[in-house]
Amino acid sequence: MIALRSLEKSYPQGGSKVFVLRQITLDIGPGEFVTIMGPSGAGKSTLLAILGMLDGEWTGEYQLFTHVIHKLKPRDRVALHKQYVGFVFQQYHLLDDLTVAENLDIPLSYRDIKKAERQAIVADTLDRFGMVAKKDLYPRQLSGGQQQLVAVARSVIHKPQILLADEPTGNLHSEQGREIMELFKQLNAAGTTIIQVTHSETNATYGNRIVQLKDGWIAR
Amino acid sequence: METLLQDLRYAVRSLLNHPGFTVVAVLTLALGIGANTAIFSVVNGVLLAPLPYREPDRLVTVNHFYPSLNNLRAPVSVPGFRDYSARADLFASAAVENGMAMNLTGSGEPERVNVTLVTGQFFPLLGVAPALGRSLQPDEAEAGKNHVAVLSWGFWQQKYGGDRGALGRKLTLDNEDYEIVGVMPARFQDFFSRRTDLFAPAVFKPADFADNRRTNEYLPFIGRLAPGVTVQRAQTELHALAVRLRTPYTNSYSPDWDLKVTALSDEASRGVRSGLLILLGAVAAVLLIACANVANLQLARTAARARDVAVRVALGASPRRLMRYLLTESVVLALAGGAVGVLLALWGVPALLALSSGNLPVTARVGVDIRVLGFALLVSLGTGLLFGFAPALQMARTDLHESLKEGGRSVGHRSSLRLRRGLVVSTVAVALTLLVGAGLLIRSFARVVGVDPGFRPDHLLTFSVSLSQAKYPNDTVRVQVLERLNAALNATPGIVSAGGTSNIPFGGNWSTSSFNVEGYQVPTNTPMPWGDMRLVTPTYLPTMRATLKAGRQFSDADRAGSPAVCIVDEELVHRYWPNVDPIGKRITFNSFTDSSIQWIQVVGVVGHMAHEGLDAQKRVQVYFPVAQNGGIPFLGFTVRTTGDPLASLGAVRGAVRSVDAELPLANVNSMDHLIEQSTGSRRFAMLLLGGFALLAMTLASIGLYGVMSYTVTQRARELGVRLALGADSREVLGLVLLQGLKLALTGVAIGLLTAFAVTRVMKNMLFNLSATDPLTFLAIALLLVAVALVASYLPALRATRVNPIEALRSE
Repeated sequence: MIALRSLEKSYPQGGSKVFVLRQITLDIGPGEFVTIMGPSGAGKSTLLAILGMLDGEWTGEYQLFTHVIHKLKPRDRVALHKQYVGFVFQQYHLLDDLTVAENLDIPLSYRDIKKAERQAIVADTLDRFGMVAKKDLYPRQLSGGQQQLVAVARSVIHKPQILLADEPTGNLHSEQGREIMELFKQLNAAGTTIIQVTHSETNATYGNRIVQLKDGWIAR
Repeated sequence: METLLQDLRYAVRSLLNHPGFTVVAVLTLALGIGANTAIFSVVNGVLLAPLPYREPDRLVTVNHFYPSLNNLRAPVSVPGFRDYSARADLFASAAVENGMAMNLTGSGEPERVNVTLVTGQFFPLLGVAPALGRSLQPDEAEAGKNHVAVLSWGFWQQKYGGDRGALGRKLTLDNEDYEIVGVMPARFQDFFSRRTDLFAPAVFKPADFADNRRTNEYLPFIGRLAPGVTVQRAQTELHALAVRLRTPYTNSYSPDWDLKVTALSDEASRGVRSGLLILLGAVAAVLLIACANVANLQLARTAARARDVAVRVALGASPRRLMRYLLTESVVLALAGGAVGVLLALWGVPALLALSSGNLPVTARVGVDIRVLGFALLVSLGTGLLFGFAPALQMARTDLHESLKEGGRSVGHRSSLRLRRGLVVSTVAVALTLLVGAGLLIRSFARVVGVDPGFRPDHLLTFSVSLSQAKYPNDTVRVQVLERLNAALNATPGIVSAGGTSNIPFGGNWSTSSFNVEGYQVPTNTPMPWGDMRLVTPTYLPTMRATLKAGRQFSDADRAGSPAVCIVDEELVHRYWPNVDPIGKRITFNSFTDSSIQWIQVVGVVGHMAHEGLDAQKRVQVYFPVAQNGGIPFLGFTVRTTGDPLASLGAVRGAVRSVDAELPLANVNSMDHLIEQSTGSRRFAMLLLGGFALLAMTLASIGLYGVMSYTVTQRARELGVRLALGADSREVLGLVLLQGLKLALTGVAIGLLTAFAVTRVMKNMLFNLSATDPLTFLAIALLLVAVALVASYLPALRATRVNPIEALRSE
């Protein structure tokens, strides 16, 4: 499903380069729940951004299903991102000016889904995540856990095949974190491939494989 | 469409959630769009809207044109009207009009009314139907049939309260009865006269068509071009006619005399077009500054919103969709600014018209109409795209991954700050250009009002009277009544002195003539001596306090039967008798070869008196005693008073009434007011451009303040480190001020270069001042630098109060 070969990412600094990722070769199959771990600055979030096609400045090979990402133009990468990927962030990153329902609606509207259909999907998702009563609230009116719940719901509302999560429980207390991880487990069980970046050993146990990064290299 | 509505809804909400930003941006844009809308409403009314006549693009005016007399354009004469209107190959129809004041009596207090005498084709040619009754018929322009009148709408309302029964009633004008046959609609406006109370047929006597009346030019001409005839062709044909007429009428026409055909629409905007376009340019510049300021605000917001944008991208927003959302927000902001701007314009247009004090063409229909609203909408949309584009682009370039990683902290400051500084520099440059333009107009205006008019304008009341032909049928009785009026005024307590003249300075009328000067041979291809001719009472020049430079004033002995005399002004002496004593020299209206030549002897020389304007080019002036030259039917009086001239009006009325109880006073004014009015168009342009320049400067300084504040916030850590390392507040203050000063100086330098190139278009609006006047340029540059320092001072002060520990910890 995902195949990275000799992927590298660097920044120019002075006359030389500073590498963030070095020679990353990695395969992830459908339905896997992979955890990327490693110390700060190891390149975990950068790898996640590249996998999600939010970062296009790298070298090497990246194949997603049958798509050869490294040969695609940025516009085509955006299309694939829209088709396959959902994102969950540590800081939730809900849009402050939009209500819970509108936050859920946004990814669907970006995928040109008709309004009536969107409304049905949003209503279904609100129900599934137990947020019907909160649909008209703004993010600032929710607790951290509730906000992350909305963020997760938003990331999967368009049924992505891959869910990328960057420290999804980093800002939550343990009980809320556990609930989110349970949710991920359910999503994974339902067929969603999940790749999470975390420092938490406990969270890592929800996955079925751990990839360790150190100084940009995959630790063997 | 549905997603566009969604973008629209979210954009409105986002703006409402940031009221501080929204209010400042909307007000900034409202000022820019409002100013543009207001000025465009004038441009629309003056330059774009069609004239309110049938097929107005077929209407032209014909003028006598004298290239060697400062390109003088004169109306046509009666013989001229006959010659030109006879050209059926050029004109489908033609008409002339003659505006005059007549005494309306027999219905209460006698009053002077403005009557426009028109020839037969006048109304059919313009194609405007009367609102009531009928207009004048072609055959009524004949003696005996001409005692009919058509009222203007305003006069009908004012005098008859809009009573339809006014039709058929009689009016007594200059002691002759006229029957009211029609009322013109409210929208009808005579092209050449701002205020016509009524129209009556013009009747010419056979003597009026005599060849010696060819230079008696007082009739504005309107023609409707024949089918297929263009303005250019009419011009070519009439030029050929002028060339043919020059030879048989050498006494009337100079060798370069010509005929000028002008489209009526061009004639309407003549004299105001360039000024209006300059003002439109100025408000466009103000709008650009407003755009730059809002773009600056948006850029500041961009930094804070980078996370929002990154999240949207992460959720699948395509660059196009994202750009559309961001631009939607800008357009919503601009439309809100446009709406408030239109409200400002609705309030501003009447103020603008009041300020213009009658300096706009009479046919101008200035107001906020559908075209102006369309303009405001287009400008708003354009503005939204203009100021929204740079921030949207900036945002699209944001490093998404970094934005998300930093948890929404601002990113990309460096390029954003560069852009913001660039915007501030350009606003300073544009503001400086406008300020230089305004400065030039202000200095120019100061020079105009500083011109010595050649007489004492203070404590001077002016008015005019008109003697009807019916009541005062010959010269003798007219001279008698004018002399009695003069005497009665001079005998009135509170009046220092009074005098009469055929043309009151700054009164809007003038009369000129060519003449010959004794001992002066006109060089080949040079026009004859030509200048202002005045009939005056002996007390006129002393009343005006004109300086007698040589010889004597007129006396009561200068009357019919005594040797013909005149007083000339210094300008004439300077031109024709530069090195000889002019007293005793002579002028004549005859040619030197004329067997019955009538000489007029110069008995005095006075200083030149400004007449048409303080800034008008000097024409030579010749004064003749009214008692010696026959009593003209109308005379202006100037009355020198001890106190407020208008307060003496009652006494003046009493004096006039003691001579003729039915003689109304017209054009009552103080001379100070007349002079002030004569500078109206300059004042209008100066105040508007000055206002816009001030607005531009304020917006530019707000922009600079914004950028400096932002810079201080961005540099808080650096400033904290400096303070922690021992920098004192003076050094920090200097550091920030210097940064502001650098931006301002860059803007000033660019602005000076721009102004140097741009102000040349204002050359014709300036008086005795170069368009690159160094003093103006220097003063404005210093002013702007001072303002920039003030705008940078507050952020600089804030910089000195940075708490090093706080600044370092927050990083």
